[in-house]
Amino acid sequence: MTKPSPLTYKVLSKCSSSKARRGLMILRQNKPVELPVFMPVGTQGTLKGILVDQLKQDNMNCQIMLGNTYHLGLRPGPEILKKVNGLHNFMNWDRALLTDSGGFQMVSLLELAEITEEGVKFQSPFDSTKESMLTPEESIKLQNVIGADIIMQLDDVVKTTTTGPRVEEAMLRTIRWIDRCLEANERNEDQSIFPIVQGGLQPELRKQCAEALTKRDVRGFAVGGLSGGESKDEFWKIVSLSTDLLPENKPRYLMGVGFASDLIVCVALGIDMFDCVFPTRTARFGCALVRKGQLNLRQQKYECDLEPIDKRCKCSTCKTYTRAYIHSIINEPLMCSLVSIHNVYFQLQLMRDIREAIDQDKYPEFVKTYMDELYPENKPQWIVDALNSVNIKL
Amino acid sequence: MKFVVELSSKCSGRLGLLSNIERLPERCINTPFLLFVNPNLSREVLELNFCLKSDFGVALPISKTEQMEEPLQLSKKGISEFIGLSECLTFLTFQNTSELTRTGHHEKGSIPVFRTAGKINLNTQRYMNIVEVSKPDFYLSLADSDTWKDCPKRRLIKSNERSQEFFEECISHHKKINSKSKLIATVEGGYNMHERKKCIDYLKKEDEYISGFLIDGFHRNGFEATQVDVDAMTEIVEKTVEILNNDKVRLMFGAYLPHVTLQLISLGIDIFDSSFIQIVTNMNRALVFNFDINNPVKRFPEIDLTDEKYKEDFTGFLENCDCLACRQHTKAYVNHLLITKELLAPMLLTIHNLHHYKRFFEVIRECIKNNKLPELIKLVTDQYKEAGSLIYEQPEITDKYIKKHNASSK
Ligand SMILES: [Zn+2]
Ligand SMILES: [Zn+2]
Repeated sequence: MTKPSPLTYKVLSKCSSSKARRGLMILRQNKPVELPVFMPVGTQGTLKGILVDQLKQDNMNCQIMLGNTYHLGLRPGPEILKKVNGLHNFMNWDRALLTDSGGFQMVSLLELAEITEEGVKFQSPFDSTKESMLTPEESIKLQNVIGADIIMQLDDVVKTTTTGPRVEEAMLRTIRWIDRCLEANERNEDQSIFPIVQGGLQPELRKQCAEALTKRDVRGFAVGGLSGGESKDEFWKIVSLSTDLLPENKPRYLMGVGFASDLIVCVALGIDMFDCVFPTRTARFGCALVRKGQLNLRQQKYECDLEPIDKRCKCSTCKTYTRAYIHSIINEPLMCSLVSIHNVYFQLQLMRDIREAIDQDKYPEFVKTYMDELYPENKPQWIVDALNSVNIKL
Repeated sequence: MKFVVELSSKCSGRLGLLSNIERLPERCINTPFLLFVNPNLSREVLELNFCLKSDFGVALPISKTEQMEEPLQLSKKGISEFIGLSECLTFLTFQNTSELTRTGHHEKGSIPVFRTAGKINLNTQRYMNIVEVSKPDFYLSLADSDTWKDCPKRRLIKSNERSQEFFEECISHHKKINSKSKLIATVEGGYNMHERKKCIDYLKKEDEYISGFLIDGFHRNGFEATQVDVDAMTEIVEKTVEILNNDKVRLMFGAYLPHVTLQLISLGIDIFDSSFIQIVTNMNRALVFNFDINNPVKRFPEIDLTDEKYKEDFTGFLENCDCLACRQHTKAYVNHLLITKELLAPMLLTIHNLHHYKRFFEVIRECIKNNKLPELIKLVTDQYKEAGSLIYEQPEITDKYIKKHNASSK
């Protein structure tokens, strides 16, 4: 008997105006992930000050989390992860996991990383005399040890705003590297590699890349190289172009995007999965996400504010604590836990609301209501244009 | 508030029952009892681990709560609701027992309070305002507790004089506002019985307003409490207990080692705080000392999770411990979280250590009931004595040391 596929994807319902779709992804061992989904980032095998049990509580119900291969490869390192049979066991998380390739982190965190045809050359962050190479094969080998349900190909990363022949070179190399990654995957029956559509801000290159990648036998796709300083106008057009080029019957993951308005627009453009460190990172500084934007609870004006962060929010923080309380413990580690919980909940609840709206085929109404609350005065032109392109008129 | 001593024997501790607490009329608290000091876990995390409705109490140091005065004034609901623990017993204190308190810095009419955001001088007026708006179930009378083993006689006398002034001001406020919060009188006097008696004499003048006594002034909190001269301290505690009323609850705060806590319990102390747990957790350790007298195996009492040898140890901190941390996680994982400075590490350590210590207190109560306290004392003392100086070195307490030590707890 052959093993069942480690990733099945089904479109459950579709928005009758836009490209938004409600889906269900089932990962190995029957782990459901309802789409569209936001994946919180647990870089080192933990989500900032949150217990696994808190993520699994009924109200929170986090179904998938992201880990960073670069960090996990350094600490605890592959030997330990191999001995414990992967990150799921190591952190006691029995739901879905996704890991990145490590390439992006390396290029952005290590000044001296250099990309060659073979892979990413870098100096050890702990010992500058040591030089190492992360090849596509190495990245997959490491991700095989970590054992996430979805793993990413190593791609050639260039700054989004780069122009000229380097963009094309990176795109072509990314296509060459997906074959090396697929070839290197020793756990194809457990772990699904997503290739990454590259090509900067040039529609022609994106097209060429997507056409090449969709010829490969893969179970889902990512759109990379965005959210790096490009204009929003360019951003949405590339997203929309990419989803047009990707097959209907496979999930689409837009990397590194997580602001509420971006999520709402990109769902309308046909994206299913998102990740972003922002909600947990900003929590450390006492910033809480709300529908109207964010509250900086460090500000003096919250000293005597006896409302919860958000009256409508059903997270455990809002159920128990006031803004004034969080303000009063702003320098304590507990503050970080409380605001992280709220922010992760905020993101997950937004996705639940989005899914419900698509289910009822009321996504355009949902988008309008949300945008009216977020931008009571003037709506950013890019949002109006992007939504207009998929028949949602603000 | 009612406190009844249910069982008492000379040198073998006593069992008590706290009830009729104004704000929590249904609650019955069995003593010896442990208060969780400066609760640094969220309500949700606490609920996943402990039953808040049965016997959970928190000690709230003023250095961590004074900034809540204004919102509390506005909310009128008191601090227990504000911190999200309305069903827990609350106890307002003026010192943070889990951090070393810098000596000196005294100004007339106030005590120095060292907060993360800097030092403030706290006078009785402000302190009693905070009590009034916080509405804790218990609070300590303000005192100058800056005394220690070899402190100069001058300091001792000064501390006592200042404490008397603070006490009298507290009492007069207490009467004026007709406070529902119960007053626990702070007994100062260091290691000097004459000063202790002097202190108790002025406290006893207001006997009817006093619900209990905190025997204070043996150390300057934090790590220093783990280093106290146990014989000298217990001698003073024994004599002090003799002259205190039997029907009032007796407290001692500070990070005493477990076998020292047991000795204090045998002398008739009823309530302690969890500052020891904070100290242990700040040192990245898990408590594993054995308190099962039916299976009296000796263990090295505390393990350091940053130790290389736990890198690949995929078992919980302590076999058969049923706390959330031990049920769900491993030493290797916590080792990784500590090395990567993740916030989850101190959370998991606190969960285990608090669970272990609360269980320890349950066993203490059982042992007193069954007249087995001496056996428990022997078992725990043996483990800590055998570990000896390997586990708590004698540091030279300098300003630099204090800075370093207190910084690590943040
Ligand atoms: Zn919330
Ligand atoms: Zn445990």
